[in-house]
Amino acid sequence: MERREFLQHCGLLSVAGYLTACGSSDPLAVGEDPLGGLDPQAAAAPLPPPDPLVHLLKRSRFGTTAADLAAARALGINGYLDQQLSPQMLPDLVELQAAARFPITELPLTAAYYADAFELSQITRQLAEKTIFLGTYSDRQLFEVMVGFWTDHFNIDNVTGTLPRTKPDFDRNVIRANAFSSFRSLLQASAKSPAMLEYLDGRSNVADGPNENYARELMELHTLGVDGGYSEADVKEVARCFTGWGINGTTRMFEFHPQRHDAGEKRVLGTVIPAGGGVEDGEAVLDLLASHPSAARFIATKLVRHFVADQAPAAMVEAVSAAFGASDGDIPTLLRALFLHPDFANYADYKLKRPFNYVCGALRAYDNDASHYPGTELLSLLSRLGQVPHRWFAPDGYPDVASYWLSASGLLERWNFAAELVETRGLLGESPASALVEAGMSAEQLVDALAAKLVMRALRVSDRAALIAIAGSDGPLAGEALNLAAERVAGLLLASPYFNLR
Amino acid sequence: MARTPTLIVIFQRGAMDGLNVVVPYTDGSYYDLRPQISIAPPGSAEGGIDLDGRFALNPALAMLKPLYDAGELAAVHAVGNMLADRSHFSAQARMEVAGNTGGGAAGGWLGRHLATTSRAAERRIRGISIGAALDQSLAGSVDVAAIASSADFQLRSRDAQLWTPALQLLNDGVAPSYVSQSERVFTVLDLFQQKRPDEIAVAEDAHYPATSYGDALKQAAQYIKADIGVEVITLNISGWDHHASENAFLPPVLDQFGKGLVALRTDLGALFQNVTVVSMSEFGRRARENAAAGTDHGRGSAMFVMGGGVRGGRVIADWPGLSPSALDDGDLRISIDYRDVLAEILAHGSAGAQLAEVFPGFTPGRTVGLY
Repeated sequence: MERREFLQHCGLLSVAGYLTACGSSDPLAVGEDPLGGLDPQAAAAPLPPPDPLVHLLKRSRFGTTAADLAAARALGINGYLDQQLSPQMLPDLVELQAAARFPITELPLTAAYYADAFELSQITRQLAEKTIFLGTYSDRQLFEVMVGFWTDHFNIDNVTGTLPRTKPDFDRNVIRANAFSSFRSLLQASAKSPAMLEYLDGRSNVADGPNENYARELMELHTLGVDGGYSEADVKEVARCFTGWGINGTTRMFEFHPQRHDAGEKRVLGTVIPAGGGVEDGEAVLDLLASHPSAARFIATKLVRHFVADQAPAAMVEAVSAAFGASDGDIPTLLRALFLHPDFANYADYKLKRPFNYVCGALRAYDNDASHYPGTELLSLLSRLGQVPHRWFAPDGYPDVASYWLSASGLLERWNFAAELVETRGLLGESPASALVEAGMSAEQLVDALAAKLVMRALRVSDRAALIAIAGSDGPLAGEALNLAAERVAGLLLASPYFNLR
Repeated sequence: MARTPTLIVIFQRGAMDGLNVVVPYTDGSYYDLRPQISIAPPGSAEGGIDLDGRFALNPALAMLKPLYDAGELAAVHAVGNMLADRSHFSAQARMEVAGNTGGGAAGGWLGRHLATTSRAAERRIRGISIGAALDQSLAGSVDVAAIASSADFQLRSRDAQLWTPALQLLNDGVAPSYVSQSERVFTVLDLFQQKRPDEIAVAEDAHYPATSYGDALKQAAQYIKADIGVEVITLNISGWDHHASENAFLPPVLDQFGKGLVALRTDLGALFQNVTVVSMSEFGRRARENAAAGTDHGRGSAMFVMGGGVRGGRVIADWPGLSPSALDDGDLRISIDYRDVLAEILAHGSAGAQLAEVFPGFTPGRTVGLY
């Protein structure tokens, strides 16, 4: 399509004219999932699929630069996974920068306990920003993705009341310390963390009038899943097992209070916990749950839903669940089983990037220089998109399916983010879009270069033609014409399904 | 042309403690079960506000009493979803989907209502979910949109005239749900361009709470006043999950909830006659308090219904009682199905409501008598 033709057809002046000329004829097109799920198989004009390595990078990272892609190509799929699953082998310069830039998130638990209202608000802001900073600039990309996954799985908000006193410790010593260890270690660390004891009321769970909040969410959300085979009686019995778990008044660390513990016999999921126990009653419950087949299946389902498709394919759930059983929930083993599964490559475009992924990915692909980090403004942009880190209040964590995120506001605010990022004096004022291309390029070359850098896959013929028409007329581009063309094409690519689909 | 009647559905996420909100102060068991957190009878210090000689409002909801007295507000008690479990997330989903066996239906109850009453071939916005994501109750209709803020709903590219056709082209032909959402964005942009709901001023004497819930109610009123033709608006208020220190944490959320309703009523003025507001929560809380002066997950709760045509000034209940033998596994028994309440509201607002499709497999129980 020629530029003139595109502009005539799609009408800079007449949106209504465009809708009849170029839009799909019927918004009720067959195949629309009533819950708004993504079904690329029902697409009238599917996007050309990405190559398998690009598909793997899209799923295992928040963002990818051209240099990241070249490095992964050199390593191959196995080598790339080996590297990402050994984050200690990757430089941690960005983590040091993050610690220096967001110092209040490094406060030890005992000191953070004395944080006043102003400091609490600083913790809320700085931890959210640090999470974005690391998600964008760290080369330990799969590690950051798993930190996000477990942060949702063991969700605790970092806003309400005094939770910011304990949440940074939870982030460091529960989530980050165990993101690549075993599910059992992660579960145990979460159960004894002051943040969880506060958030789900474990510290007020006492023999004389147990509090069931933690017991229920432990089984429903952390281990077995709502259909995992526990009963209301199990909820009550598990609550009894955890009576007396609390927090030391001086150190602010976990402490067991025997005088508040119900030492009677309990029966949990058919297993008798004998009378006379203490802290080991709750520990026995954690062990029982971490080894339960429902936990293997539940964690496998959530991982496959996160990395593969909203409707988790059964064969892959089966494989990851089996790997869980065989490895006692060793997290790197589960991830290898998932990414190396023969079906993994079949699910390109079945996931929508969540807003956090979208924002970190756009920042990294556009300009991976951490010294250009745009600052607190990012939080208000992410707030419009609905996914500020650590700001989901219910214990189930941010939703992980497109039916939640693919909304009118959600889509519009992604377009606006892309515009804000690339347009002159936008989010990264120091990084003009022309830095991604070279002076003297033709419109075709500019579109191909930006597609290679930002979306790393072939465009549909009609999309490529339209973007070339937008980039300009024949002949080499330079100066302001080059920058304007780069802004428009880069912005539209980042706003398009090529970049929004994960 | 007559204005479209509008239904506003408020979901109280986290499980509102109906027993401490509409207090059964004449049921002696209530005080036995809740020695630390019960609300004292009307007439005592910090006592409830008497409604009908049997039930009292939590004093934090005092601002609602004038609406109740004016006959514009009714409460329904011991109401809920008999198919709910005690998980927040699955109980909320079950209530919003409103299928017969827990899941088992496409979309949500409001989405099915809009889909089965669709009249015109042209697409328009009949349902709005105020927030960044669509409430599940509205799923299943293509005539709905999630809109976090009408003021922010604009394409902010300085090249918007170029971006609009370009994005339409780039989004066309991909997964149908993606195409459909993209088209909805442009439909809403056009609608707001014409009607400018965000420019409608709040009535001088209406004071919305400065929270996302208050802001959502304000936007709902703007949509109604701008006459954009919206039939259903959903919004949310969270903060009801009081496992500990309930009497410290429930009053502030009630204060917000009640002030919001009063502001909406005031702001709508004469248009209130054409509006129904209903509140619901996924389940109630355990009848007996726990040692932390909180309550764990229970069964029956209360709903509020407010509107021009509503026969308010009444607490509608088949009170099951709180004696040990009357309780349902320790909880307030559900004696009115929440779908009876919703079905009556839909039937009142729209003559063509297809209740059998909106609530599949549901056999109406009782005439609630809201109107």
